[in-house]
Amino acid sequence: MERGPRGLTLSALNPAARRLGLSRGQAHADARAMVPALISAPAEPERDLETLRSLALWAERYSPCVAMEPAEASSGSAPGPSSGSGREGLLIDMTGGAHLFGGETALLTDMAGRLAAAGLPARLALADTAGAAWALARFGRGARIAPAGGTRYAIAPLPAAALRLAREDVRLLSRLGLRTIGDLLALPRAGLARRFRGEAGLTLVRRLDQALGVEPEILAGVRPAPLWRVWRSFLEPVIDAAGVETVLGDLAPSLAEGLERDGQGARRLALTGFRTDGRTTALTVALSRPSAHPGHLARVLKERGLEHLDLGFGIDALMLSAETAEPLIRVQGDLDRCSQDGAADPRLALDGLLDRLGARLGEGQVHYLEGRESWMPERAQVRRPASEGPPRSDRASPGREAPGLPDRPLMLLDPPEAVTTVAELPDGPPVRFIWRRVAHHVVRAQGPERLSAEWWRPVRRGLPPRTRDYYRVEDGEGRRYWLFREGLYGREDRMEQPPSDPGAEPGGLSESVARPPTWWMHGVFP
Amino acid sequence: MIPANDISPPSNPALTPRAGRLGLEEAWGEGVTGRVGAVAFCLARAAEGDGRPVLLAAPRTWLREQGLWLRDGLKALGLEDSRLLFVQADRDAQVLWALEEGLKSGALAGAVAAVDAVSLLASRRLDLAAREAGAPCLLLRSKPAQDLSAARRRWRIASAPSSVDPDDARAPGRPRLIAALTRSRGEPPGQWLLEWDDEAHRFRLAAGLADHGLVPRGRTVAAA
Repeated sequence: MERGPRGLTLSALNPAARRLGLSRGQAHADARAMVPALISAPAEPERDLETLRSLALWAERYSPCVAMEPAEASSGSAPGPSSGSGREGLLIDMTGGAHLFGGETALLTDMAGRLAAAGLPARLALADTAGAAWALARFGRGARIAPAGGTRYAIAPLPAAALRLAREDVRLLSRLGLRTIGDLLALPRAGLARRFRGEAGLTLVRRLDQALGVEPEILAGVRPAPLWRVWRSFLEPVIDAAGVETVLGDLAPSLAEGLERDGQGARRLALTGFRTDGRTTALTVALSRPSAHPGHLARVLKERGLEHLDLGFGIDALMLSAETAEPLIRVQGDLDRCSQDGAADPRLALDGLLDRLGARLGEGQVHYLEGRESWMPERAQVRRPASEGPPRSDRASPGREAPGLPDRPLMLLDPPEAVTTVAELPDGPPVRFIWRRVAHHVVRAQGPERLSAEWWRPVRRGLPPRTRDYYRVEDGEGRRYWLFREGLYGREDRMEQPPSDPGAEPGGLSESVARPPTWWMHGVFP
Repeated sequence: MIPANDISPPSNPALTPRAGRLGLEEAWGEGVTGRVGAVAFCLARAAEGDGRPVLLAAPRTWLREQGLWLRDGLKALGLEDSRLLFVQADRDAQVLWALEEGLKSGALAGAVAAVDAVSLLASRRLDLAAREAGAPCLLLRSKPAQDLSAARRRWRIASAPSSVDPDDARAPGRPRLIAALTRSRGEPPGQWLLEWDDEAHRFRLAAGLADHGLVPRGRTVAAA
């Protein structure tokens, strides 16, 4: 049931309820009066949509272009209830593909068999146009295949509602005595478009044209169709990773062949399993360099872990597709050390290694470090995923290696850890400090290196950052640390705080709170 | 006219990483600073004399305790951004796998990894892969390892008081480490005081305690 302007109404029914004479769109109270034992649940359109989407992905086994029915075009003039039928159908573009499944009849039989096995009731139809197939699937009787060129005769006996019209328009048509599509087809177009108020007439004519294929209708697939894909179906469902691996060994060469023919290499691969229960399961991997080498494609997918495919009760088809491809750049191999894989070239070897590591450990887990514009040490670097290639060594690097460069520790504590210190002078280096419960006596110190706070960054939470004075210190046993004092004595040790009482007048005096400078441990030198 | 402390016996195992095929080695550092010293020692050994990238692998737990890799600090070891490839993993087993893959690929100059649980079998595999690739593989252990291992050398690294900075007597000078060879195949154990040479980007032997403050930086002194 769903909540609409007229209270609770029924949005979907199961066969038992239909047999009892209930109908979609009926008020919930009326239905309860007819069937007191009615079991109802709130409609969940989002979950319905999600389920439909997963079914759409499954249907890609038949064609790369599968579209979910667009949300019902509500006619502009009549804002009536959304009529319950949200998105409940799939449109599959089978152009030129039916022969792969043994012809149109065999295709529908196969589809119906699989859907029934998965426990999904479905009505299937096939026609020249999406509009006609939609009409036949919902209102057709007997044969649901409109022969090529026979669309007009196939849909003529169907009721006018089969034209995907708003309910108000259908009611108006039936009041005028136009009950079937055939009745409409017999009328002159111009008059038909004029007779209705608002846009209804135009919609009617457009729907009619779409059903007959006079006006093209574009199907927006659930996802862009991959250009390179190979797939294989099995007689017996495959239920374990070993079986998938065997099939992958067959699929990879034929995908590589297709890519190679077009001079392309895969950058992102997807392995999709079509499960017997009408769902799909997929693995995707990214490659650091376009590749059309069958061995490499299969190896990277294996490293990703074929056991991560959720096979359920088994899959009966497997598809390997190149989701993204880029022109293949050939590298001159080294004649001295040539091998079959070309793996002897250190550059290729590195790319192969990065692909395998990235596939097994996750893409973000293998990375380089790259510089960034900031003088705060923790912000001056950023991870660069290894699949994006090594960072270019910046031009400034010779300058930064100049002897004037202050030393930086090898590893940085994140976040900095608080230390207690004793200093000779308030703004000098510490003489003694306690870190991780161990007291250290400072023998030598260098500093400060003053880094002022990046005031242009918004403060997300907590107190605003203050100036940091960094010191390199060494204790009596030769341990070297990187400490900093946050806050300057005399300048940053008090903090203006807005009046804590929200009711105070806006011009009130702000309180000044003491915020003494604090010491932190930020890193350790070798 | 060569400074005396640049002359080192060629057989010194602490200085000659490329002598022969290094294979697998282990190092552990005392305390947090010793551990960072061990990282520097291992990285210098893994990267020496080769322009290919170095793999630095560590499990997440180790990184959480030890901190983040700092690019500017690594650069001071003479390692450019493009030469350092970082791997972080959830488990030790994944680190070992990444190491073995990296060594076998032949794309690396060497590999350094922080792992604790290494079985004898795993260490043998790593040693074999490292020797076949001619790339050193160094494991950073967090405590003195007593277990069986195929590692050819075991090192203990501790930080030592730095050299005197000629410009500022109160500042820490060049970093120094004590590298102690605790176990080795076919070599006597020993202990060396190493000093980082920030011009040659390598460790060299520090010239004892008498050297403190005698050699002004940037000038050569004739050996008496």
